[in-house]
Amino acid sequence: MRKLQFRRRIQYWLAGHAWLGIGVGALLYLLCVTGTLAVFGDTLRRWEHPDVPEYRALPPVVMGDVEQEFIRRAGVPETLWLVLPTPSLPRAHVSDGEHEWYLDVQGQFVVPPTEPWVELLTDLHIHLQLPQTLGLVVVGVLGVLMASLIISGLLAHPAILRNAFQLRWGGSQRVQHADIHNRIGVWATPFLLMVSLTGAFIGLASLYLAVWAELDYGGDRSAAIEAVYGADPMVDASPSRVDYPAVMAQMARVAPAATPIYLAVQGLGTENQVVEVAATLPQRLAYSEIYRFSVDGRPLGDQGLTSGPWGRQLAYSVYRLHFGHFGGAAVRWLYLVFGAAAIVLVATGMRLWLVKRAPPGWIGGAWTAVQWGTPAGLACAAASALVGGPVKAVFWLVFAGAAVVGVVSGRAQLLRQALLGLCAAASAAVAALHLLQHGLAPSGAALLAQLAWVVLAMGSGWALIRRHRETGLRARPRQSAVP
Amino acid sequence: MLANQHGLAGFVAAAAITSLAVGVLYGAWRQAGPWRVVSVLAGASLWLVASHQWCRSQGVEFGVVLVLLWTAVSAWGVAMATASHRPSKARRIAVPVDKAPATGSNRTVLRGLAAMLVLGPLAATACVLVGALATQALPWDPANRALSGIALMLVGWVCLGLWVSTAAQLRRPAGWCTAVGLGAALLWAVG
Repeated sequence: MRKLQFRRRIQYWLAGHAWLGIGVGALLYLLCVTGTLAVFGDTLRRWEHPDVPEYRALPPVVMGDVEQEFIRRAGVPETLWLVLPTPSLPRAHVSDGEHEWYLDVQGQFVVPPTEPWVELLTDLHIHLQLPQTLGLVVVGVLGVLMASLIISGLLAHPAILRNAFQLRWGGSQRVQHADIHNRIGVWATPFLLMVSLTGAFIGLASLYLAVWAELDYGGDRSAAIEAVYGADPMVDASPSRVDYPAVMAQMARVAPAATPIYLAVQGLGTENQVVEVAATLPQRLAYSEIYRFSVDGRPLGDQGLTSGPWGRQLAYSVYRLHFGHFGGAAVRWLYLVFGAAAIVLVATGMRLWLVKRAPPGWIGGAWTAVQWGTPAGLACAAASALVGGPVKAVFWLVFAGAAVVGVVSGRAQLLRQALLGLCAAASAAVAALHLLQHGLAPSGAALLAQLAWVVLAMGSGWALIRRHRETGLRARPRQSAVP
Repeated sequence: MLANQHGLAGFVAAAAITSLAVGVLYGAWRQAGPWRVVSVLAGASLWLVASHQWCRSQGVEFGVVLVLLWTAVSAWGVAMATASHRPSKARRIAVPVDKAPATGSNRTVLRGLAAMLVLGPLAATACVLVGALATQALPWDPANRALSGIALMLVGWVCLGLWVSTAAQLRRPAGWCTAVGLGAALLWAVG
């Protein structure tokens, strides 16, 4: 009797896991693909915009000239950000949040950053291209549901230890996919919970803080944000020019182990102007510590992001943890592996559900459109970006077009072949166009991205030919609709 | 950081010990009898040594993340290296796998959409309000209170997701969610 109840409970967990997966599978897949690529966002920026001078450090002596040139071009900003070169993005840029330019090592303005394809990737991952706040909340809710999915998957898997290393390859596709799905899901649980909960935090913190501000701060949202992340210092001094070399020299004395990543000059040219230097600390996950200085380089303390209350330290640590931006290139590659594993996890989960349904109907077609329309859409958008065409429109045209065809026709096999062909052709076009426009990539990072496009083109082409041979598509156009 | 030579050597050493620990645990998984317990203990001890090495070479914050990631990578490596390859005719042999009860596609999709309504606006109202109200009385620094509230909100939301996914009827979680949300809103309005 007890055994029967236990089996029934497992059936419930499995059913719940299945429909929750169906409900959010498509959006999770899109987030996993874009998130995996976003880990290498800096590399992709260097590939998309390769004709920018790269160097390891921007000399402090040129920073004053940069500030003056910025004021001449765009007027006096409320806050001026001077983003310094890092190992992953060795180029500096200056911005006020509205205008932005890359700089050469002498501080000369080069060009504004134009990386529409990388913007598309990050926009899709952060807010699914919905209006900013709504999109953030939707992505946050998806993070919560992903965590629920992971836990329900574990609860639905009573033989978790017995099958810990079991992987059956070949034979029944269903058994193979179930094993791949379960092995990835079980071992990647810590990573998946980490990215889902940190993603949920990033997406839903603003919602929580809005309510919290109403409760504790009479609706003053900036007061609530300051309570969590620390307040701006109040300075009262005569407006004078910032002595950047003095600030950077003091910075090296105050925090010798820290690596500055950007400077922010608040209230430029006013009595309240103050220089903030954000810097990463070794072996810390916090995005940065922010050190404050007066315009003549006098230290004014730090914001307590790495030494303040644990709540503040934790709140400022979720970003690097989520995006894998810590520990250098090795961690990025690890995140790439886990991101790919998450993509396979979603894809095999959907496939397991679809394979039990014959024919799977419009859902099979829709899923094929999402699974293969995402890389095809991204490749077409990249090709469009290289010829100066619309990027977002092209992605959505391919993605939505595939979805409509998939839902209306339900011919998943044919759609899969078409999208694979499109992905192969677009990726090859991207690699060829980039080579024609920029020659052999000037940096190793850009070359790596270029190689990735070649691999994607060859991989898609190979998959297309292999599938074509296996199914004999020409002879039998109407196949099972399972992708 | 991994950039310096010491960090890289520490990374490689920690990765090697973690992989060894996973290998020993795999050996235990294959065995039966008393040696299995000994191997599990040996594997677990090695894993603890690896965790210590990760934290020593990369710092505690990076180390905890890296030991979990590398354990998974090693386990996948072992699973792939020892995968059983089956001939294609095995397709016809029935193999027991975890089975979900079959449900109609359209019904599942409709239920999914209804559940999204519960897990979206209803859950948002209930969890955010409960998280903010429950931590209001804590005598902590505001930053700590805010983070505790956000954590409570996320845990509540995830649990609600689990409940909604397994509930035979969506009415119960939806009703509870509405009641808790309304109760919290009333508390807020009153106090």
